[in-house]
Amino acid sequence: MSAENGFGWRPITKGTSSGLDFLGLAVPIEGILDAETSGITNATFRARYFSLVPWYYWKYAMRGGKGSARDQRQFAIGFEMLIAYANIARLDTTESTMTGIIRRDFCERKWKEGKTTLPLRGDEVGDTPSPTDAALYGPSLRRLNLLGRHGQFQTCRKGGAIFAEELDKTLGKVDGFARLMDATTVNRETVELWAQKLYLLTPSKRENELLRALLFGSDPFAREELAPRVYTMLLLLDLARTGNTAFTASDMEVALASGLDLAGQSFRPEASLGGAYRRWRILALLKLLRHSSELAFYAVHTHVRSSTIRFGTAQHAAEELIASAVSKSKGLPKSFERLVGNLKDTAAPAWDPPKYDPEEMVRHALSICAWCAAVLRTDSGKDLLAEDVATVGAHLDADLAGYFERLNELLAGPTTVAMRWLCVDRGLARHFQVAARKLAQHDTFRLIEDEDGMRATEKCPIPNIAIRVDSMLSLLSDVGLLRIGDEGYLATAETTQWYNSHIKRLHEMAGCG
Amino acid sequence: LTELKMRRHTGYQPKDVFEALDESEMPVSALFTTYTFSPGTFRQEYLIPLLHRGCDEISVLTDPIGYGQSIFSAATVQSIGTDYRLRQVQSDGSFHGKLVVIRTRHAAYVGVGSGNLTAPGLQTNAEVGSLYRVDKNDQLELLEVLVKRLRSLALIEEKAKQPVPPIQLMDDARLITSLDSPIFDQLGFPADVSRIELISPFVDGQQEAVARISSRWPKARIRLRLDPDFGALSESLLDLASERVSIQVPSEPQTEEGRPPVHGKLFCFIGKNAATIVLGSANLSRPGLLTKENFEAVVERRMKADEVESLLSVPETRWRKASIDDRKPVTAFAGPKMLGVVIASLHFRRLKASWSSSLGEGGTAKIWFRGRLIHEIQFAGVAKSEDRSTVEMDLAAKVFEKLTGPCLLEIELDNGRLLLGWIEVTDMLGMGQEAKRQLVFLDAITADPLSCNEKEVVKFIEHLQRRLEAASRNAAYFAGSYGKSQTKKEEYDTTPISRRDLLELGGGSFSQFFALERLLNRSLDSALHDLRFFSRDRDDQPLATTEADRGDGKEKLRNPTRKVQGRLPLKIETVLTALFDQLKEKIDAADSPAAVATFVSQIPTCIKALAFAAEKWKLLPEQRREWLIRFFHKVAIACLAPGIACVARRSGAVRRLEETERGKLTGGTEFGLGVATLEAYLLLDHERQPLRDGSFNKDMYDVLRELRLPDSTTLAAAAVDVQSLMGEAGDTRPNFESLRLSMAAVTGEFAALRGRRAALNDLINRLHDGVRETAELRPIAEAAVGLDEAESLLRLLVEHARRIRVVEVSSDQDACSVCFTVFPQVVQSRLNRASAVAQCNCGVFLVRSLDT
Repeated sequence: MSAENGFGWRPITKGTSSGLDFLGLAVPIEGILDAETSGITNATFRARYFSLVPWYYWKYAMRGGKGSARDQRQFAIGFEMLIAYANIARLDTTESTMTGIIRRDFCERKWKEGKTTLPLRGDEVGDTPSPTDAALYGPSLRRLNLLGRHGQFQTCRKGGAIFAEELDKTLGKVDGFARLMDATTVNRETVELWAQKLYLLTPSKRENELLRALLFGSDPFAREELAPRVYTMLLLLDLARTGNTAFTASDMEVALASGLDLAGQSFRPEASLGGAYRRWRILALLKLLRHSSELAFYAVHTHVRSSTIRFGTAQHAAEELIASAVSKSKGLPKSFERLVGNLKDTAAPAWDPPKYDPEEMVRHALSICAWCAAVLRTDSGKDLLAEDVATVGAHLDADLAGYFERLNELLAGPTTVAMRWLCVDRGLARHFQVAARKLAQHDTFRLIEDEDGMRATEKCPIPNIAIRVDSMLSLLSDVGLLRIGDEGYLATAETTQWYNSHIKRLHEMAGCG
Repeated sequence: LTELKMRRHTGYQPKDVFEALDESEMPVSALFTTYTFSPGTFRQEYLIPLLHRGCDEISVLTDPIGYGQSIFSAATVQSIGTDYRLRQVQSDGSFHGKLVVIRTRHAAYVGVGSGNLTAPGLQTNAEVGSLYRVDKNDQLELLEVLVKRLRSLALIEEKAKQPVPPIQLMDDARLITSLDSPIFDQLGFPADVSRIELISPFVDGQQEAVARISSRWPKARIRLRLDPDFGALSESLLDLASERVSIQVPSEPQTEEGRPPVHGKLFCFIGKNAATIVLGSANLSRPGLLTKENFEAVVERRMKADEVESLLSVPETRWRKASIDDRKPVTAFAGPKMLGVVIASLHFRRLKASWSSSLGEGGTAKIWFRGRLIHEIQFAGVAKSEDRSTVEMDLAAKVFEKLTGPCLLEIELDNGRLLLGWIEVTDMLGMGQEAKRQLVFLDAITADPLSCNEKEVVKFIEHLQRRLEAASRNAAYFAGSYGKSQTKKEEYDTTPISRRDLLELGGGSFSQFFALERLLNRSLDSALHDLRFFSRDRDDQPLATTEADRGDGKEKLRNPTRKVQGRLPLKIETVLTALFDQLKEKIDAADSPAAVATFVSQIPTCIKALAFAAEKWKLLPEQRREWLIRFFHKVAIACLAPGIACVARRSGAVRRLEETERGKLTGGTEFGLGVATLEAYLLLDHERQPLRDGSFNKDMYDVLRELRLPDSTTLAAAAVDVQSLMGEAGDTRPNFESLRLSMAAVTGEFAALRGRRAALNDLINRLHDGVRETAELRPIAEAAVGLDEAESLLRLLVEHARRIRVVEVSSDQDACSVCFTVFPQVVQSRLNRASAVAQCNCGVFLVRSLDT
């Protein structure tokens, strides 16, 4: 039987929100990071959450009686809130600053309202702090074996119980603690009382020892095999010791990408850290290569947005931009090989282009790519390609070895061909593919190509690609192995002492093995 | 739904096509036409669902603009030439129609609209469209003529010249194309047109179409609405505005958050009682309506005059009178000249290319794959016939092997002319062939799973994963829940548990239960992840990633030189091999791609875990205690455990072996040894920590007991082997007979569940019989759901007393079979426990099915 199943105006799907991984290049980086720094995320800035969170989950279990997933979540929310209020109160009093407080925005707003009672649980309080904060509860605590998750329940594991038992000696004995376990509100005075006890930067001496032990996999958290995270932490401490002045996470990442230390000298880590060093160099280079693709795409996007011309297709827009970027440039060599040659032995290009105009951006993007190619052509660069992780992401055509092969092939051709590859094959074409796949999830379209020509969306943020160096340095400073100041991090005598003792431990373990 | 849509006059989205497509009907062929084309969007919206439904022949015909777009994105394009044909059609004007024709054996689904096969066209623009199912022979025959004509224009078929008259889709709807005469000339109008509503993004510069309409109905009031962002609002068009003719534009500017671009083309010719509505690809322009230069497709629909109003409401758009300030002149960038197109096909290793020009005797052919040149060959001896030039060449095997996805052929003729086109890999086109290709790959793994390399296993799991993902995505898509889950706030279960169980400090039923659950339900992502990083820990197998320069500077091969080929213990190997063989046979025997897809989506977790475990085991550099305990356990579980979809523990993997297969194996020495190893493992585990009632390990053991058990000598030898593998001293000799007896006394989880279910049935029967005494009922309730929940269950059941209806829910079921309501998360979560009783909103009681 014939039938009419539709006639008229079609319902509209919104589809132009901005996803951060709009070229689908994040997967290899995230994959390697998960292997190298299991338990650490870009959001785990404050080490003390590793002790406080297991403590309240342990406390919940120790209450005995019956509970439910809902009940447990409410219990935990109250403590998340209390920790946030306590830290905000402390910062308020001492006029200090600190990042990485979970539920900060909401609690700060409530704190500043100045009311005598503050919400802890219930309808006024959201279920999850924010997608980023939730990362702490997801991978980190479970991967560090502090908590387990079974369905909707969080369980407290042995490691978590070690922290909990230690913390409970003090925190569990605070007056009025029992009431806080079910309370839906808390007084300001109570928060001020807890401000000292829950301040994220002042763990007790024993708690700090345990946090260090957790991060470095030593007793009582020792396992038969050292987690890759330990090698990474030691590597960062080793590199930190090479700087004469304060340094930031991005200084560290540039040093890794370049193969130099923080003072700009050639860096050769302790032999047992060699593998970790090579893998972190790969990560740093992948970050730059991803950034170059996103910058090139952003250049085309800006070109489409800012041009008075309506381009018929993306091809028109890209080719016009490339022609103009090459012809107007004074310093850009005609051959890509020459560009790579020119950048050999130079410092890593800046993250940001000199100007955010499309031509400058696309030239800068290509320079980053060429600089990476130059690094990979050195002897130490070739060592990186021999690493297994250099092929991670090959199925998505986003692995370091794949990049290297393609960049090598491009060497023989003119710069315009390399630029086209960067803008189109690594940028636009990937975007159309990724965005089409994600549209069903109401995600990403930044350039739209249809019958009326090309349109660019209003927003196209370039993501800041975090590779967890920032959070790891922050954790190291929280446990007192680096000093942090306004200018950045600094190694101290304790850094060297700790580093040496743990390298010795590595050697001993290797000897035993 | 259809009735609702009709009342509101709603167009269609791709998902509506698949909703309309009867489940019992497999699409046989599909033809799409478009002006602009986004391969990614087409793949996502139409291709994948079609392939999943086993559609063999899929073609997309596009204007050279759309073809150029696909070539531009060649580095990332998927499926062109391997899953579907993409052809460009040259015409005097534009190949502008937007048509969908999907044929099943007994019917055809025809979609006609204004949206191209692009993201805006299918999703975000305001577009019009209509969708029909037709099944009368005369309709189908005419559609066949239309499809043949279009395919012949794209040179897929021999030239077809049979004219295509308007096709009656319904009594009041006709499909009209411009193949043989202009659209306008074929339309029928009411005799007394007094009002004309026109919505069109484009109007020709000379306003010929408007003029024609205006002169034909000189007294009719005309309202023209157009979105000025398309650039068609000109001064001369505004000059047409008069008392009789009004020109309107959207009240608000086009923004991402605000109104959408209005790209729909809708013309309404309204009389006193009747109206003709024209909807489709044709713009209000000379090439769109008045000539046959363009290829256009529209639906002409008759309706009552008073029904038209609802059609004039453009989604999220309000209108106002246009003014001179609304003009948005668009300077289109001319862009590079389009290249000539070559039609290329690859049949086995024979590449055939043809192009329209008679120029050129020879030249160079280059094959590009994922944006990279993979082969270059000089050719001569171009054959000429009428207006086509053709060349054929054989590809070397090593080149042929690389053509695993969409490939571009570039031909540079000796006269300097450049041609480009997608290669149609005829062996892969059509899902039937595609399935076979996958089978070849699966065959390689399943035939000898233990000697395949890591890369193949990764591919194998990826293949399974893709199938699973697609299956679940499709299920969600068609259930209308796509994209909703992310925004849904998590509902937390309120089922009470003992808080102390949340201390996971070793032992304890809660953690043990969930540890197993988690192991079994381990996601493929993690498996893949582990596989990828596993090799990093292999210190005995440095991966020499060498760069073998082939000398041409264009291609370098990464040499995947791996590895010491470890072997699984033979005992496990036999079971694994049999399972893989069975998997292969099942897929081989499938009579349709849909059956393959369904089967793959149903493969139990244990099979996937096997692939994982096999690889892990094989690559172990030495017997390291921790790993061995973990992986041995995994293998044991994998061999015996049920799949993810089986909360009620339907059947172990060994049980999954078909009787004949099991018969063959049970006679074999290796299988016997395998059973001995597994039994020894379970008994030793029981000795270390005695199993409690309700243990899932006991279920595994029960499965094992169905097989021929080893004699005591074999068992003892196996135990020594296991102890040695696990790094335990084998100097103590366990008393296996006593362990077997002790194990026999344990009630497995499955048996315990059956006991509970029997108690539940007994309880319900008594309630039906009028028993209400708590003293009598309480012990039975405790036996049914345990001490903790007995009271609440009893209270609930007594409330419903004689009206209790219990429905068994299978593990993969997520909606009530009585009222068809999707279970809330709380209910789903509750039903994860096979002994729990939940209640649906419709009143029925739900329990997990325990069927084996």
